[in-house]
This record gives sequence, C-alpha cells and structure tokens, in this order.
Amino acid sequence: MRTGWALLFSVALVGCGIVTLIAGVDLDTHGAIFDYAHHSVQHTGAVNVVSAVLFDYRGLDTLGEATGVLATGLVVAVLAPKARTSMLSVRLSLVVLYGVALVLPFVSVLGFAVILFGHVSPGGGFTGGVVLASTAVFFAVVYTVGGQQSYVLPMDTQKRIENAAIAAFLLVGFGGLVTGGAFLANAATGIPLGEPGSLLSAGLIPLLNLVAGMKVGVGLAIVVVCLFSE
Amino acid sequence: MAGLGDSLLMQQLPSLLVAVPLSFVPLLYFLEKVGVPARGAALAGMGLCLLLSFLPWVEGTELPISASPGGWGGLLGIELLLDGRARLFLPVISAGVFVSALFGTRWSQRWPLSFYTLVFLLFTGANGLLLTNDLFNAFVFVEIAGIATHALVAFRGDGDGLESAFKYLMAAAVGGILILWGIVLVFTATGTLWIPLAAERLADAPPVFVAGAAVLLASGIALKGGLVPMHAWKADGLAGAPSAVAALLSGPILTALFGFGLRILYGLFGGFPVMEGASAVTGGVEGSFGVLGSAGEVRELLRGMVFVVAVSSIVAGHVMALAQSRMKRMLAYSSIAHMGYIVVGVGAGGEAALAAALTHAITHAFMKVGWFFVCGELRRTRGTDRIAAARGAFREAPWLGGAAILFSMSLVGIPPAAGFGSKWVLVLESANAGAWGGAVAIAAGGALALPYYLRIVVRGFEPGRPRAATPVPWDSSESPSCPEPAAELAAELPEGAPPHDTTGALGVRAVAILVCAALILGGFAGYGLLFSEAFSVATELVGSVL
Amino acid sequence: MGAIIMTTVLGLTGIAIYGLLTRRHLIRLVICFNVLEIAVLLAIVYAGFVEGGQAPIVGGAEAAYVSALPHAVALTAIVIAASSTALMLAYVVRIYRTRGSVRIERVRRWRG
Repeated sequence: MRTGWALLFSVALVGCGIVTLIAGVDLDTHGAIFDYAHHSVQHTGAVNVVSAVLFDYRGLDTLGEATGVLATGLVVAVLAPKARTSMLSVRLSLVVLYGVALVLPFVSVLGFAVILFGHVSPGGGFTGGVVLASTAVFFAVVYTVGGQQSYVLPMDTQKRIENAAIAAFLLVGFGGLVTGGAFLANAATGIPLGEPGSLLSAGLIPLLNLVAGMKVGVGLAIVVVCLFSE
Repeated sequence: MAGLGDSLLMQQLPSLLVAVPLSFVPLLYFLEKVGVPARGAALAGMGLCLLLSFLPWVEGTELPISASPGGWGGLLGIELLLDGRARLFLPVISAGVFVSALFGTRWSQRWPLSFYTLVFLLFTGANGLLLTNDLFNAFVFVEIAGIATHALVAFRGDGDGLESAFKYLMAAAVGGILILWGIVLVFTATGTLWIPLAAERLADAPPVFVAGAAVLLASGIALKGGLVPMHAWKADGLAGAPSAVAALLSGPILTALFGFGLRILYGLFGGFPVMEGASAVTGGVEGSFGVLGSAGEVRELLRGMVFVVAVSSIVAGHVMALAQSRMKRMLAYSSIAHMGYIVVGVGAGGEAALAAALTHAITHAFMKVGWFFVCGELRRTRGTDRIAAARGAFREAPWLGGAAILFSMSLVGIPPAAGFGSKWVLVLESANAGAWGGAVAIAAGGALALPYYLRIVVRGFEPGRPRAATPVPWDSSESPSCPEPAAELAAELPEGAPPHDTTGALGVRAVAILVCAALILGGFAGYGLLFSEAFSVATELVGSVL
Repeated sequence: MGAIIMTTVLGLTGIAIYGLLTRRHLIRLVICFNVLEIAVLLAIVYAGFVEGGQAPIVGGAEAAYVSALPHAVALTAIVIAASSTALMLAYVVRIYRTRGSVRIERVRRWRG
C-alpha cells in the first residue's frame, strides 16, 4: 500500500519533469550573466576562477560552510564515545604498516601543494583539505585511532586549529572591513595582487585557501576519526 | 548620535550583524582557554548583538542599508540588504536567542562551551537568512541554522533526543534540497543568484521554470516551517528537544524563515495580488504583479492552494494539539496552526493583512518562547512534560501560573494580550477579501485552542501533587524498555563538574519568563505602534512589486 | 546533451524520493538523501556548462570558459551535504547504541 503510493508519487514527479522536457523547454545553458573568467584576473589576480569566486567574490558562502563543518565536528565529537576502538582490531600485515608509512608523507605533501597552489591551478582549500583529512584517516585505520591521536594530532590540538582557522578567516574579514571598506575585501585593501600565475599572487586568496584547507582537513579528520572510535 | 547614520558602522551593519555573532564562535573557545567562563562571555556577546540589532532603529537611519562582503555588489558577489522587513525582525530574533540562552538547558551547564557555540551559529544563520539578498547565500545560512538547531536537539544525548534530532535533520535536509532545487531552476533560467536581477529576468524565462521554482522554493520553506502536508516531523522534532531549544526553534528560527519567505515571495516572484475588497492602498487587482501575476487563473489557483494549506494547517494543528497528553507536542502542533494564521495573512494580500501577519509572527515568537519556558520549569520541578503531572504546580509557583495564563490568553487571542490584535485584523481582512475559509478557520481556531490551554491552567491550580511527584531526571519513567544513557553520559563528566541541579538558576529562569510576559503585555500596549511599523513594512513590500 | 543530463537528474530524483518514502532502514534513508543531493549537484554543474567551454583556469589565449559560479556553488553545497551526512551517520550510530536497532519501526517511540 505504502509502497504503491510512493511509487505512484515518484513516477508522477518524474513524469511531470519529462513532460516539461518534451514540451520543448530550451535546455541550453548559458552560465552566469557575469563573465567571471574574463574579469577575475584583473579583479583578484587569481588564475583559477573557481578559487576567485569561492574566496573573493563569494567569500561569505565559504565562511558559512566552514562554520558548518565546525558545528558538525563539535557535535560528532561529543556524541561519539572517547576512543574505544572495536571495529579496527584486525591485525594488518607488515606490508600495509610499512607501505602506509611510506606513502603518507607524499600524500600530505600533495595535500599542501593542492592548497598552496589553489589560486593558480585546479585545486584549492577544500580539495586539499580533504586530501589532508585522508592522511589522518589512513593513519587512524592502520595505526588505530589512539595512535592517530597521540602521535599525529591530539583531539585538543585539532580543535584548537579548527577554531584558529575560523578566527583567522574572520580576522581577514574584519581587516578588509577596516582597510578596504567591505567585510572580506581583498584587492580593495590595497594588498598587491602580484603577477598572475605566480605563487605569491591574488592578494589574500592564498591565505584564505590555507585557512580553509586547515579548517576542512582538521574538521573532516575529527568527524571521521570520531565515527571510527565507535 | 550625530554622524552615526553615515558612519562606517552603519554602512557595514548588515555585514556586522552576520560577522559579529559568528566571531563569538572561536572567541568563546579561546576565552575559555584563558579561564573566562563561556556563559558570561556568551551572554555579553549576545547583549552586544542585541544592541547591534536595534541600531537600525536609531533616528535618521536611511533604509535600506546595502552591504556586500568582498565589496563586489550583488551581481558579482553577495549582497546583504537591511530593509524594513529585516529591521522589524532583527530585534525579535536577537531577543529570542538572548532569553533562550539565559534560560539555558540542563546540559548547557555541563557543556556550556558547546551549547553557546551552537547557539551563536544558529544566531548567525538566522540573521544571515533574514539579511541576505542572494539565493545561494540564503541556502548556506538556512543550512547553518538547521545544523546548529538539530545539533542542539541531539545534545540531550538520550534516545528521545536523538530520535527527534534525526527526524528533524532528515526533514531539514530534504527541505534544504528542495530549496536548492528551486535556486538551481532560477539560476538556469536567469543566470544570476542576485534576487532583484533574477526577478527582473524571470519575466522572460520559460513559465515552466518559474512555476517549478516557485513550487520547489515554497515547499522547501513549508517543509522547514512545518506546514500541513509536511508537518509530520515537527511534533516529534520538538518533543525530544530541551525546552530552551524548542523555544529557539519556534521563535527565532521560524521568524527568520518567515522573513526569508517574504523576500522570496515579494522580492523574487512579485507577491500575491491584492484581493478585491481588501483594504489596499497601493494596488488594484489589475496591476501587473510580477511573474506569478501575469495570468489571472494561475494567480487564483496558486492563491487557492495557499489557502488550502493554511486552513488545513490551522484545523489539523489545533485538532492534533487537543489530542496530546504532553505539553511540548501540544505546543508544537499549536505552532503549526499559528503558521497557518500567518500564511492566511500573506495569502490574502493587501497591506493590512500582511501587516497583521507580520505582527502575528512577532507576537507568536514571544508567546511560544514564553510557553516553552513555562514548560521547561514544569519539567524541571515535575520531571516530565505530561500535562497530568502539572497538577498543583502553579499553586506552588503562582508567578509561573500567571505567566502561563498570560501566554495562553495571547495564543488564544483574548483581548488584553497581544495575540488578539493581529487575529482580529486577520479575520476582518480575510472576510473583507472574501476568503471566508480563512476567516472562519482563524475564528474557530481560537475556540479550539481555548480548551487545551485551559486544561493545563486548571490542572496547574488544582490542589495536591501528582502521584509520582518526585522529580525524575531525564524523564526515565517515560521509557522503561530501554536503558537510557543518562548514567553513561554522567560518567563522562569531568571531575568536579556541577551536579545537574538547577535550583541556583531559578531566579534567572524566572527573569527569562517574565521578560517574555512583559514583552507580550508591552506588545498589547504598544500594539498600535507595532502594527503601524508592520504596516509601513507591508506597504514597502507590496509597493516594491508595482 | 541537455536532455540526457536532465533525464539522469530526474531519474536520480525519482529513485531518491521513492527510497525516502519507502525505506525503513535509517542508513538507507541517509543514502537516499545523498542520491537526491547528487541529482541536484549534477543540475547545478550543468547550469554552468557552456558549449565548447574550457575549465575555468585562465590561460594565455582568449578562449571560452564554462561558468565558474556554479562550480563554486557546487563545492559549497557538497561540503554542506557532507556535514549533514556526517551528522546523520553520527545520530544513527548513537541511536543504534541506545535503542539497539536501526530500523524505524523498532526505533521510533513517538506516536500520534
């Protein structure tokens, strides 16, 4: 009965959509009205337009989502019990133990590179942050959660980094407010934009990339590790 | 105060209203590291935000104030716009958050840092949702507020709280996806996320996109607000929440959501046309009312749908509330009914009805916050929110009984309290406009609501105490089958944490309840003032469409 | 191109909504929510598609680029959805510990 109604409802919904498709709606998309690609280098100095949109044009969205990750980490850390690992008690072979130790440094370097070159190449704070979080997950899986906490980053340090990252983001914002006339202002603060395409360019975007990378990396690490220790 | 109007502070006020509550999130953490208690710092911060939210009322302020984080303006970046609607609602949100934080919950004394961090996130989300003039930014803020809210519900940590939190999260997340769908359709059709420009370009968009976006946005907002076809989660979501969190949910969050709904309705879709006979100042039926109003039949069909939703919310909300044996569930269903009242006012169109809807949203926020505090006090002394257990409670604490009577009167709409005025205007306006269903439903709603509040008040003033009179922590009498994790959570407490006896804070709690009571009484005294303010906002909203 | 993508989006949405309405297992509800999210993300990214456009990393020569705004928006939406999913899973784990099941009919206590 319930299944029937649900099926009817979803089929009707999809049907409505398909009917409108057949009815000849123009499906060609044209993207945003504003052509970010041809202005972003001049406006922000960033060659990677997505980074320019994320950290300059729409910095408030990014700040908002970073705090969303913070709230998630906060709740998951409280709900999960403190480091009682049961699911990962399998003994891993020597190959895994040493192999991961060999790979981990390279993965972290990759993570930092993706973050630091976020404004000149594909990548950025979020992508790089996820790579960094994956090293923490690697470590927790292979060397147990306790090991991750005691050797890499204790939970307390992770929380400190997380809060410091939000604070840094906000400080950049208020700095822009005072010197550039708008919250999170970048070029308007008078900071040199540099040679587009070089590492030190795009004003404050690399800094915000780094901050967001730390934030996402640590935040996701907290979430995953807390769910592991269940 | 000279020069305040054009100072940097005023120009950047919209950014500050979002950034200042947010900056208390890391600030509380670091302040606690250096030994400043989180509760004191948080209350000071909320006081600061409350002050900021009253700044637009300073004489000589020119509205709207537009600010753009990043300084790129609406087309390139994000615009935050403080208009009359936002000015009216900002103090309501701030005051609601402030008194809820003052009231606190049982666990807010154990984990003050987490509690106040989440409250500040919720505050940020609500303020941002009210101020933003960008579609996607609104989605971000609505999700931040949602995450913070159900996290606050889940923090109670036991099965009931988690069940509530999961249901609330599921409803909020799906509602968020619906809103995002609507935003995607608008963006595909117009190529911008900036509401004013999108509204302009929607006029040339394929009607399928416009109708689809309108339906998706409306159902997303209705799902988050708990209107009737999508109300199932709401009572469950509130029942397991601590009282102060339930108050946050039905006060500030609903107010911000309503403000956002108004911006979408009037800013993006051009609003509902004024109905014939409604006391309209600015427009007639034949005026061009944005994209939704281009075809008369579509317009009336949509209005009919809105009235069906509103009237069924009112009826179902009150009838379900009558059937409840627990106070929080009863109040949750009553909230659904009151959302229905507000939607009737919006649907009727015309400045007077819209102004009544605005005032009703404001008074309802305080009435509900106050009632949830009363409920929290009862739960503290009786250990449960069962109505039967309230027996004798008001006899022991007459001030609590007095507050309960006042809140009930206001919710039912009995003259000396603030709820009467807006209901009166709503009934008159919908009758004038020929929406007899709405008028009858609102009038009958009061009659339906009276018995269930009366039941609690009478029970409270009966002599004697209920049989199981000892306060039971964590409501464990309600769930005998499963081991509750209260003991487990208690075991995780650090040494030397205060026991969860909250008698010391009674004075503070009393203050929180009495503030709400005063606001409601003051609301009646200043009703004309509030209503005229709301009326000018309504005129601005309706006028912006023409 | 547009028709294929839009059909995929609609199909995923239909599957997700059917699942949300019928499944009784909390983890499956979480998965359905994710499928719904992915459908929207696909629509968002498609909204920024420009015929013949390149990835929006500006190189020397003048060229057509796909619109960067939907990409940034999709990134933000992904992070928010990931937060919601993580919270849902944390609640499910906790519900399993307190109530001993992850099936709705055994978990739910509120009625009426």
